[in-house]
Amino acid sequence: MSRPKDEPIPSEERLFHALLDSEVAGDTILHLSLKIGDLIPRCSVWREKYLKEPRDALKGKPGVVYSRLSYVRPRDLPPDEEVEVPNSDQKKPNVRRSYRFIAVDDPTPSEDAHAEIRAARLPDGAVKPVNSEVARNALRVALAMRFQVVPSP
Amino acid sequence: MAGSAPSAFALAGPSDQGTAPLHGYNVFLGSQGVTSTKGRSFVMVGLSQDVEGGDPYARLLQIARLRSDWDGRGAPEPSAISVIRALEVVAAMEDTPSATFDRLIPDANGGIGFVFLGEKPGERYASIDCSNSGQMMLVLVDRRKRSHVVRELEAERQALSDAFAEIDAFLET
Repeated sequence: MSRPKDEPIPSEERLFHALLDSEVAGDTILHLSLKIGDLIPRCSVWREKYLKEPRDALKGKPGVVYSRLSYVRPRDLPPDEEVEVPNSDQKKPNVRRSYRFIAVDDPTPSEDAHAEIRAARLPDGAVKPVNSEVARNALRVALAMRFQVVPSP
Repeated sequence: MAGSAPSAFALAGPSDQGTAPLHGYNVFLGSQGVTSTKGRSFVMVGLSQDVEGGDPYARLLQIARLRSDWDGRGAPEPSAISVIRALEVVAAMEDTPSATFDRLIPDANGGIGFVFLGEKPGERYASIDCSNSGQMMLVLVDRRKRSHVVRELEAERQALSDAFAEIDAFLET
């Protein structure tokens, strides 16, 4: 059973994301390291508050060596991001839509620290599928740019 | 040659056998992953190793052998069409000697990415993303200016050649 939801996530709390060496370039993370799902742009992160220590976010599958840590704070999430998506009427030109990134507590029975960063469509804030792969990738790139890499010890 | 490969794979899913001649390689795709018939053997050596340099075909074949959840967090395995798209990128690079990527890595969202790093990798990088749906995208990231470009790339030689030139110009400015 999961712990009760604990929201809002404080704007200063660090939300961790573990990385392979190949997913770090200098002090930035590559967008290719973020799994955002097939339709709804959302990305798993691990809350500092529920980790005994940040390194616990490195735990993965046996044989997978996560060696680097990155984090983003809710206050540092990207400003509203505008992307171009196909018009529902395919005969009409693409339309531009704005999205806002929000941090959502999402504990699971096995991972107390689990949370998600989701892209909510403006102006209503609904979290809905984004029906353009290019638009989803653009949202992912915008999010990746806001992560900070934890320096190696 | 490269242009004919995707259609050869159009009906082949990850568990199906298929073959396609591509850039001198006769590539088999099947339940054991992708192998070539040039008498070479490819062994998974761990994702954190050999991430820079090396033979792009060997690296690509390593990635193509990944299976679902290769990262322990539910990442999809690279699809057949993403492998073919990546092979097209490698083949196009061989026609454009100045085009060299720095990393070839699996995409946590499914697919394969070619990463090009600037002199200060933390400030600028570019990538060509070959997604599991077969779509190719050009990504230009300037972290210092907090700006980025993401757009669709046509899967054909001229578009790839133009993309290499655009990446060069982006990383050099």
